Amino acid sequence: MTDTVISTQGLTKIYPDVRAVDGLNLTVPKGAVYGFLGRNGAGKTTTIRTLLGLCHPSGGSGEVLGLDIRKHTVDILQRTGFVSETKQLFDSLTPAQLIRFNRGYFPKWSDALAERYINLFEIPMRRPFGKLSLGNRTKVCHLLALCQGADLLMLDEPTSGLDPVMTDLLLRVLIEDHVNEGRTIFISSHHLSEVERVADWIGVIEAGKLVLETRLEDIRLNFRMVTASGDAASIVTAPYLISKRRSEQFHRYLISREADDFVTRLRAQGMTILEVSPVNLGEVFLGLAGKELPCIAGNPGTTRASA
Amino acid sequence: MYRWKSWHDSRQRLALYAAACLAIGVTQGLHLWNSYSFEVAWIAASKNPRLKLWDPSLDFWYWAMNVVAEFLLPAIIWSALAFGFTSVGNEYASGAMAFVLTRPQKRWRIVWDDWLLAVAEICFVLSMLIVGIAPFLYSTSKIYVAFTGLILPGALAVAACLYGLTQFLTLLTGSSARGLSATVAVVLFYDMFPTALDEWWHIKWPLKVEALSLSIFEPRWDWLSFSLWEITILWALVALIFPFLSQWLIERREV
Repeated sequence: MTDTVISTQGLTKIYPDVRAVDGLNLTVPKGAVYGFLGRNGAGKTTTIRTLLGLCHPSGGSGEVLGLDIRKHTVDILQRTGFVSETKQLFDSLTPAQLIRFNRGYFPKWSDALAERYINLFEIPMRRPFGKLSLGNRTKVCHLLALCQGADLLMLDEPTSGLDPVMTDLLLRVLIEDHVNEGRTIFISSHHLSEVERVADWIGVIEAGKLVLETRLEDIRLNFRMVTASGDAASIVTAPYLISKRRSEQFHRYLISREADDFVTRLRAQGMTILEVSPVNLGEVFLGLAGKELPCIAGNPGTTRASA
Repeated sequence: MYRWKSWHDSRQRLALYAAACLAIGVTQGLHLWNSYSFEVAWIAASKNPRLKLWDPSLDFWYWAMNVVAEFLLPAIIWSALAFGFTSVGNEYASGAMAFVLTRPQKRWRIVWDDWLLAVAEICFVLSMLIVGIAPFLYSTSKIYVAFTGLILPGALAVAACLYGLTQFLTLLTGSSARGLSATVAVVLFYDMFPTALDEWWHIKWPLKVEALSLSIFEPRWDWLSFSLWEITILWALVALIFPFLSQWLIERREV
């Protein structure tokens, strides 16, 4: 049994007008909650769709649950619960009918779990799906994915339309009922605080490329923001330097490890260290994918450091 | 399971169309029975001994078949288009195709489940025309009633062809409305183009090609050279092309 649930090597998806996924090398360990982050159009949804056989890869290879994504789509789908970004099911069916439809595909379907989530999520069971609010649609999509006894849950924007109470409930359900059962959860989201709450692994995709893949614990323990002043900052490079941002008076460096070494190097170049601080996921994400306002006086912009 | 969903979405329409066809069949049957009763009474009252030897059963059966055939064509077209309008390609427009295609099943199965159910439903709708007229026909032409069903396979082959075309074009265009529009365009062209060629340029298709007219029961062809059964088989073969095309398409299509 492999310890990796999702792995891709140079996975590429090219549309006529864009390289949506560009040589993606992704590794999702078994039992992890993997937060897959990226800006709009970064390639998150295309990656998920390619992994599930909804799109055909233009290049590279990938495995989900040890199965080749090009050859074993049905087997992968049998063991994967998927909540799509659009949260669109059959408008004409009620949630009760959707359960009836869905359970036929999954021998491991749990009626007991379905009953529990129906009550917990307060899902109106007799109203056609097309007449439900976005929040209730999201709940139904989760209900169907969570009860099918999947080994892997792929959730694309899982909390869209949910109020804070339901968001909290869903995240707790994911942790208590599914992560504790050894399932792997792959969450694609814009909501960093939610991802930070549940994820133990983070992957950041930008313009179709994976620009960071690390443990969340690593970010807490080793990632640092170094603020310095001086003139020589632009020539500083290091393999662990993730991004550098320059304002009129200060330079801010996001580094992934070896803060002490980096500070020493800055000082050697005559710079004054003003602050070395831990960072949260939001700061890391902005450092990797953040976009500055167009260059104006006093705002020279951010540059992503190339490793 | 997708068959169950298709059934759920189409059963109301099935009941409506079947009821309409049944009502038409019964109406025609009543008319047939009235005419038959009049005919029998007229023969009985006649003093012509040669007329008394005449058995109107076969004539009435032919008449009934023509009446059924006359109503079959619109029933074929409307039911095939109406069921095809909501075939699996519609899931693209409704946004549910990602859900459909992420259920663990081979994609060809979705197309064939959809196609088989629709053909069965269309068969049921068309047979209601005959079911409606059958009791009256039984009282007029007992020994021929069993042959009335022979008209169904040909009608069903044409209907399956039209349904398959609509299903394919709906999948191709990713929309019910666009798929239906494209099908109507194809049907109009197919039905009218040969006539136009004949009218304007006096170009005639070979008889065997003309026999593939949508109204396969119209006795305007040389049936001896190309029998109804041969035409039925030909239509059935053409009908089978479309689900294979749809299968080919859905297996390659991305969401």
